[in-house]
This record gives sequence, C-alpha cells and structure tokens, in this order.
Amino acid sequence: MMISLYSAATGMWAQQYKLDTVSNNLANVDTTSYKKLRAEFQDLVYQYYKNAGTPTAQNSIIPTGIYVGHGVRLSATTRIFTIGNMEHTGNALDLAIAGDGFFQIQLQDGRIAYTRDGSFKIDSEGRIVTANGLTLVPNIVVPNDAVAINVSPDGIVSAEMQDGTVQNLGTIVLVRFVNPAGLKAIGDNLYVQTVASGEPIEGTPNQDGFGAIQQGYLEKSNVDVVKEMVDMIIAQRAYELNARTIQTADDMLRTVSTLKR
Amino acid sequence: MVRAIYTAAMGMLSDAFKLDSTANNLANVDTAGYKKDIPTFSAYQERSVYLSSDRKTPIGTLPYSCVVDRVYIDPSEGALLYTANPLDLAIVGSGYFAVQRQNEVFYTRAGNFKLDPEGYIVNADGLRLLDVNAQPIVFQHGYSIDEEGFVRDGAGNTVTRIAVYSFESERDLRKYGYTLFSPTEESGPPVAANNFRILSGHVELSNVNAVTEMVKMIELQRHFEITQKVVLAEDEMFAKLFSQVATLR
Repeated sequence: MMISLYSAATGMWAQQYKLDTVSNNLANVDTTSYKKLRAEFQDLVYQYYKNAGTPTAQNSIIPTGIYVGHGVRLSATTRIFTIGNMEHTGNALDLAIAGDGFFQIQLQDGRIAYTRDGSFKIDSEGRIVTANGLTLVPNIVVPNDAVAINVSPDGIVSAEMQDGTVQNLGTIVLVRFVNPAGLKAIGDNLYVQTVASGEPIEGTPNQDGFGAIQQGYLEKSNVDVVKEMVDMIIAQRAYELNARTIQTADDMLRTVSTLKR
Repeated sequence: MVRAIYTAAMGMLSDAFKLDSTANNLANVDTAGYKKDIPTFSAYQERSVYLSSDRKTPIGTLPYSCVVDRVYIDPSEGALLYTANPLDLAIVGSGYFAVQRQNEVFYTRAGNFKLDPEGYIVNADGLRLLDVNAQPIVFQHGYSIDEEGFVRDGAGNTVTRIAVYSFESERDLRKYGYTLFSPTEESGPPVAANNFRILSGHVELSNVNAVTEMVKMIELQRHFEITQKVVLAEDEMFAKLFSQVATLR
C-alpha cells in the first residue's frame, strides 16, 4: 500500500547518489585534468488506473487518465569533458592539451589507456613516463646528456644537447573519441575505451581539431566549487523533502490504525 | 446506513492518492525536463435532497462521495541551468524534442543529450534525437547548434535542423516514464513548433515547486486527520445508538 512511501524512498536514494557524485567531484577539485561527473535522473514508470479514452457507462469517454508515478531513477552519470583551467608551472615536462585530445599511456598489462594528465617525468632509462611510471605512447627517450627539452605546440619533442645541437626525439600523437563521455575511468587519471566511447581516432596536435600542446602548463580539474556546493545543498534539501514524504505517509498510516479503537 | 463513514473513507482514499502523486513530484524535484502531475477530484453520486415535510420539493443536491477525477500534466517551463556542455539543449517556449526508439517516437523536454559511439545525438537511454526529416542526427567534431535548432558544421554550413513539436493540449499528453511523453487523442498530434528557442549548454530543470508541494502535503495530511474524525464521530453515534437508545427498560 501507499506508493508514496516507495516513491519517496527512490527520491532519497537518488539524492544520496547525487551527493556521492558531488563529494567525489569536490574530493578531486585539485586533481590534474580531473573531469567532473554529473548525476542525471528520470522519472520512473507510471501506473495507469484509468486510461484516457476509456468509455464510461454514460456513453461518453474519459478525457484524461488517472495515473500515478512511481518515483525517480538514476539515468546516467555523465562525465563532463569541458576543459579545465591551465596552470603555468614552468616545468619542461608538464604538458597540457589546449583543446580536444588525450595522451596515450601503456598500462602494465599492455593495454592502452588515455589521459589528459600531462604531468610527465623521466625515468632512469630516460623514457617519458607518467607519475606512476607508465610510459607514453609512442615512447620518447631523452638522452642522458640533454640539457633542455622542448615540446612544440604540434607535439614535436626535441632536446638541446650539451654541445649546443638540437636533436629531434619524436612526436607526441593524440587521440580523440566520438563519445569521450563513454570512456571508462580506471582511476589514476586514466581512461580506457569502451563500446560506448567508440574507437580512438589518432591525430597530430594542433591539427584537424586536436588541441595544441602547451609545454610548462598543467590542466587543472574542471570542477567548479561553487556549483558543486549548490548541488550539495540541493541534494540535501531534496533528500529532506523525500524524507518528509515518508513521514507524512507514515503519519497517515498511523491515523488509519487508530480508526478502530 | 452508515453512509457518512463511507463518504469519509472515500475522502481519505482521495488524500492517499494525492499523497502518491505529490510523492512522485517531490521525488522528481531534481529530474531534468520533468513536468509535475496535478490530480483533480470530483463529487460522485450526487443525489437530490428534498424538503423533509413533503419529500417532493427539491432543495439541492448532496454528493455522497469524492473520487479522483483525472490527473493532468502541468506543462509550465522549468528553470534553466547553465552547464556549458554543448549537448545540453533546453527549449525556451513551448515544444518537445522527438526521440526514437525502434519504430516508436516519443517526445521529451529532457535535453541532457549525449553522443553514442556512432556519433548520433542520444538521450541517457540511447534514444536518438530526430531532425525535421525524422532522421537521427549525427554530431561531428566542430559542429554547433544555434537557437533555431539548426545544426551547423565548423564552417557555418547548415547540416540539418532539430525537430521541435508542439501539441494542442500539452496537459493531456501521456507520460511514459523516463521523462518521455506520447501524444493522445486529447493532446492532438505533434505539429512543428514555431515559437521556441533552443539554448545549447543549458538544461531545463524540473518544474516542481518544492514549496507548493510541501504545502499541499501538509494540507492533505491534516485533511486526512479531520476526515478520520468524521469516521470516529459517526462510529460514536452508532455506539450510542446501539448501547443507549435501543435499551429496553
């Protein structure tokens, strides 16, 4: 009995989920290249007690139906791939993508992961790696006697040697997805492709719609603290509203139970 | 006999229905494109009342009961939220997007669209958004959507136009769930809307007003309690009747 109890419970559950999303966004407010998540909702199915157009005994038809909805459901958690602010670091191996695209990273199991986190380092063998030691694809090896590394906006990596000559080390290739929101986050700022994201499309930075590489910059998180705080307040209040509905339904049931004394 | 008990009980059932409807509205206070439900009630089984002296002169009618008459949709616009996400589309003015599931077309104002792996614009359940020729829309890199719903490529050439339909009577649309609507005989068939703007980067929020729904909930709860008193009062009267008046001395 009382559908309202269950409808309100779906509402509380949905707002709980929204708060989980908001708290993850806020926790990552300072994570390099983090892309915020958004919880989206849809109404659930409707129960029709009387369909519109049902004939009545008086030789007429009911103009509109009588129906009641069964609450709300989580329809999607969409990752929003807007570009975060660029922060100047001055570090030669901090690379930011000003526009569309992902760096390719080789995971330990050989799969390719994608990231916009360009805080690269050089490992003991001179390879360009992520903070976790995973190598950039195609891999670029920096010679031991290089004194400076230069990355051009179109991805060409070159090293200035001790003797003053400039050596070309390779080119960074970016990839793009038809539906980046379909990528699966595996943590550590990395994503892997899914059926929903589509196949990676390779390209050169600063060409064909790919973003330019900015050396010495890092892309910050795209989380907007003010917006998240507002969402948190909304989630809390909506949770309270639904809790209040449950309380009302409960009070009404108690009223019923006191009818017979 | 005991007609008042049944009348009061019907009133209590109506309140329970109203609560179910309000609960659904409140659960969807944060659902993009949601339109709230408004239940209406009507008197039922009205009977003429006659002057007691001659029992022939009618002095008015007395309804015996109250029932749910109908539920309709409040089609008023929800507030717009700026999201900066280019595939969040909000319709300002009247109109609905058309989305396709196999051979069925549904109408929605939930404009939080996404892309599927093939590049089609879809809703959260993968239903494809239709253009004015009833074809799904492919959205490629560099495309944009203007206020009239034209999809343009990077060079500014028109690729297609998003279809927006309106209905003669929006409040009679049938709710399918998942923020989808379908037309009914009373709503009329979909016709191309002409008085709308599409705002890319915005979503239309639910049109549920938490304050009015709360007030409605408090009101119905108190009404429920009062009606219960009618049942109790009637019951007490009968108790008195059976225990005292009918006592043989």
